Amino acid sequence: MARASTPWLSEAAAIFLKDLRSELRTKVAVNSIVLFAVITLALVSYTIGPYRIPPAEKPAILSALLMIILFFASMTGLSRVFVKEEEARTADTLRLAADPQAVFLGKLLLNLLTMAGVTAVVVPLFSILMEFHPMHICSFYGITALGMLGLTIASTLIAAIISKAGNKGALFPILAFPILLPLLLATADALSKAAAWPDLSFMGQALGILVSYSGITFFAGLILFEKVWRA
Amino acid sequence: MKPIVFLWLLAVIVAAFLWSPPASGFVGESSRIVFFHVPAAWVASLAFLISGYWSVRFLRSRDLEHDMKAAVAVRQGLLFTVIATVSGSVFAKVMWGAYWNWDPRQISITLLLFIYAAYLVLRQSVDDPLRRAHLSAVYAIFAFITMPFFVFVIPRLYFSLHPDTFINAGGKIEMGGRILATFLASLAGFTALFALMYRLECRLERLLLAKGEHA
Repeated sequence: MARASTPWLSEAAAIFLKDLRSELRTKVAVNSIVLFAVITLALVSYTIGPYRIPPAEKPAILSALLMIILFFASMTGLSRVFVKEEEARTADTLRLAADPQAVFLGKLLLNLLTMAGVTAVVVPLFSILMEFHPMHICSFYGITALGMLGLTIASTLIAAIISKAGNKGALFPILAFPILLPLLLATADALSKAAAWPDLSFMGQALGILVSYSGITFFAGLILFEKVWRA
Repeated sequence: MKPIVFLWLLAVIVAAFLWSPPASGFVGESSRIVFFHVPAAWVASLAFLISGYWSVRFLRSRDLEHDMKAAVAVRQGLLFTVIATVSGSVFAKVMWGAYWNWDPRQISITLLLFIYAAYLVLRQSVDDPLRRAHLSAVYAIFAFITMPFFVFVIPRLYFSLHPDTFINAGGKIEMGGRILATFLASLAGFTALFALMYRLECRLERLLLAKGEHA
């Protein structure tokens, strides 16, 4: 059997490369997330602008706005990895050809790459348009990256669930919101501290929460995904 | 069983308003809400636990009856969550001057509300019973796994005005005599009412399952 001899990780890598090639052909997921984020950002920038918020309030309000923008933007594209397989009716072949865990990992890797690209464009743009200059720039970007890691892992499992249900577009944020809320609140809080606090004493707690959230959702996703994939 | 529970709850209502004195440190008679608000919140959390348990059981057995039991727990949990939320905001208005002020407790109860609502919307979006059962079981378990984060994260980020919970940091029960007796009686009454309603709806759903109509 070819499957037995194929190591699990190389299966995941093959799925990742297949999806990456297909995504590079159309760029639907990354384009929709980036454009959605830019539209929302433009709206925020037009309506609030960089100078309407009192400087003391800036870190908390802008960190929350950034998380809101990234959350809703990610909801427009992260489900595509599974939805396109179901719509093109290729999911059954993939179920036969690969291990469920490898599928989850492969799809997760693509979503991570997509969100890394989106974050790399949106966060600097947000800083420029909103005149937002965090005190600890490395911590700020590190926390954003960890927040997006957790968001992507949890969203990838939810994406697998909604790809099998009707009314996919509306269902994704509805299902993802309660799962992501603790992460979004913790990330927004840590970002506002990275932007304004004189020292980095908050980092220990923030890292603890964000890393453990990603770790727990990753292993839960890996175990639960098979039940969704074969449903 | 049914008449006993109804008589018990009737006695609890009478005791809550006439027998038990109002607690000190609260505006007017507002402390009496504890007899209805806390048991409702307790049943809401209990229902969440039960739905998680039956979801795990379903994934192991693929028995649709287990899925049905998880779904019934969610539907009734939603009802008690709404009761806890509404009674909580009435208390918040009297004590703190606003129905809603994003207290950590209010955030956690809304989260439960959102999870329950999302679970039910997910069930409505899938036609095939077995697939619906799988997807909703996974969602319930996933939500259950992230819940401890909420318990851990929120109290560290936000300041709370909420009175100490029944099981508080000091491990002390800060209720005395009649208040404690009424409270415990109400807790037992609400739990029995939930058990009664839960069994009744499970019976109804079992009949529908036997008839071939979905849960």
